[in-house]
Amino acid sequence: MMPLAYAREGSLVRVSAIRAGKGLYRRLHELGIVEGKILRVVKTQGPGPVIIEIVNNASYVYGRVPCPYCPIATGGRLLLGFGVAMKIMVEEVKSP
Amino acid sequence: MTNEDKRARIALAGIPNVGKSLIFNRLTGGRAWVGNWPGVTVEKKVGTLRVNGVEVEVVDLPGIYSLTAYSVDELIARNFIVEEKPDVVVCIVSAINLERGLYLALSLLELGANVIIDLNMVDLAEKEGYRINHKKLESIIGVPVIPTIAPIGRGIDKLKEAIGKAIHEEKVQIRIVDYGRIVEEAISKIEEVVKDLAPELTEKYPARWIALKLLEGDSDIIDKVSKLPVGKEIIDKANQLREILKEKIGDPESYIVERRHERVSEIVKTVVERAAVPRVSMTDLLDSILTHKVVGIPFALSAIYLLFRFAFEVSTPLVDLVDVTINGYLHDLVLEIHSLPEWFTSLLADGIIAGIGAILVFLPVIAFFFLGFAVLEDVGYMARVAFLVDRVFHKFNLPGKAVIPLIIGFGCNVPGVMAARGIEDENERKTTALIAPLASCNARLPVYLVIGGAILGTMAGFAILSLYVLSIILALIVGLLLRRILFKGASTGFIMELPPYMMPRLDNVTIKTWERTKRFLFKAGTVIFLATVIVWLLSVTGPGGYLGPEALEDPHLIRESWVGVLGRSLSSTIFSLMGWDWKAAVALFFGFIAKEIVVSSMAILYGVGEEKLMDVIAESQTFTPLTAYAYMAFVLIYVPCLATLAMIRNELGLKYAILALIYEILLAYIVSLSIIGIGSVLGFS
Repeated sequence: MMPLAYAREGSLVRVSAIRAGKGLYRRLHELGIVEGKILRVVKTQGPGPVIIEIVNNASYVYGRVPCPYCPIATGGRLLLGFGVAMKIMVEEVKSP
Repeated sequence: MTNEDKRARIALAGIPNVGKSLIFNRLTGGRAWVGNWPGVTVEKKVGTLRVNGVEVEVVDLPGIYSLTAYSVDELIARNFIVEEKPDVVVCIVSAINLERGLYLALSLLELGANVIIDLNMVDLAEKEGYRINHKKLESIIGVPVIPTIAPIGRGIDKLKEAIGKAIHEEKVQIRIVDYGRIVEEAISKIEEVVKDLAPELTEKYPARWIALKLLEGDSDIIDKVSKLPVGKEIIDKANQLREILKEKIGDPESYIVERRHERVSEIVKTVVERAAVPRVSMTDLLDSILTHKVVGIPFALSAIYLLFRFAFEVSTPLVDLVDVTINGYLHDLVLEIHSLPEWFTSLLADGIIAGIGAILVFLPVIAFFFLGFAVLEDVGYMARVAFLVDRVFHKFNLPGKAVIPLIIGFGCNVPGVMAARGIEDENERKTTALIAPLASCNARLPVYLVIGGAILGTMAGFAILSLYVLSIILALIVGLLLRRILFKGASTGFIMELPPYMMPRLDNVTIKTWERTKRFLFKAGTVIFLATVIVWLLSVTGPGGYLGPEALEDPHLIRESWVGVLGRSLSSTIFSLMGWDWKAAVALFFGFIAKEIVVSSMAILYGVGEEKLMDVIAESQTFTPLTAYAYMAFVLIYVPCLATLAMIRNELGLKYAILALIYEILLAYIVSLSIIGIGSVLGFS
């Protein structure tokens, strides 16, 4: 487990814990960043702020890219500041 | 519509960056501030739309993600929907950000709004390789779904048609999210109690929504219910149920949000169809360079440098034209009128016309700067710059987004202070607004050029560059201090929607440029104008009475005026350590109006035209290289100009305007004195 700020660019990670105050926790929840969700790390300054995409289906993880049957990331991209990225704990599920 | 006299009213809702402002413009044909920046729509915007020959009022709600009581924007939106009861709420959902858009749409439906969904940017979704079956979406959530491509206006007529139809239709209560047996039971129990005890409340809000919000522990609703005579009973019942739920499913609030997300995911899976294998997108390609760890920052610096070059180069002919016609021709023409009293022509020429000239000379640079900035913003580049600097800004307890007000501040501090509005966290917003005046604006440059050019010779370029660096360093350090001392509290977090790169659009860019320039003109213009007139008055009068307009031409006479007196007392007291003479001190006083005036007032004080000023300063022995550099640093920091102060007062209140004034004076004093101190030790003179 590591903070999202340290995740590798291009990797897929699973959110394992959110160590944030009530306000931020709630905001992340509403944006769809919840425990168990899989995120694609689009850009990072490792360690630093990150740009992520929420991936909705676990099968994406194992699919080859490009994969015509894979689910599609329709969630848009989010920029998470360094501070925020340090509070989201993740596990890598697929290397870049 | 029940009442024919009452104008129908619709509201536009949407998460940030879905093209809401553009849809607003398309519907109303009116002016609006359109942007790629999340949170640009902070003010309430109202326009009118004609549908079937009937005028409909269109209200633009702030960009929001949901309808909780956690943020001001969300409260504004939901209170508007509940209290003003718009006939229709158009929820704009971006096809390339479907999940979060639908989440908001579901929240609006739960609130009982009469919703139409505008599925915007469908063309971009196809580029990403998928299509959204809008008919299917319509049948699942039971409200009209209209696909649009706002930039080219496709679908807008259909949207208008749907609005016209929906205005006359009663909304239907839809139970859009099923929260599972356990929670649903609790919801119905509270619903019953509310309907029983507080029927007046259910006239405003749907009972199911109140029940949900009470289970979620929504502070605003709890507050409203508590105020009722039967409030305690309802709250007690809700709390009791909350406790039971907590044991069974954990925190009800998180559970409810998660259920809503699951529902959204279900819907998305059903309506999204793959159209083609996605190509490598342009956005990814550009981002691999523009947000690159190593190359990104140098690239950003050159982009911003180019922005300034562009503003200066393109505006030069216009600036010269204004200078020649207003400050030259018109000014002299008025002075030639001998049929009027002398004091009056002087007031007109040296006060009023000079005041207008001072603003207009500046206007072209500012306008072109805003134009260039609007293009960068519209393309989506500024969001990337925020990403690039966040790592550094984070160390100073500021969000990456704070870079935007600072960059604008390098153009002009007045809109820079205002741009701090885009920052959500209150502490960070106030801090950013207070450090934006430290950005070395366009008005300071002429001062650096004249003094640096006259005294520092070949080192001038390096000295000026160092001032820009100093300006950034000071802004960050003061920012950190303010966050540590005055605006404590952890950040609520910097999170921002990152839109794909888009071609800049002419109407977006012109509207934004016009809005900002207009604000500069009115806010800054009136202050600069008034101040010029006041300074004129203080220059032509003195302790000895009226001196006459000759004082403005004659350095010996102006010495006896109020500003002369002030300058001499300043140079003999607080500035004595710096070794600046009274003329330099007076020029600083004038510079309070707008910093570039330091140059023109020096020209007056030395009794020469601005074109000869550099030679005169170089010969006059007023400055040594060291005191000149200290003077330049002082000009950078010493006070926000009057217009900036007015803007800080406007945005944060008088208290903070005074704070900005005081801290900048102190900081300027400390920095200049340190420059002189350290410089002398190092052997500079």
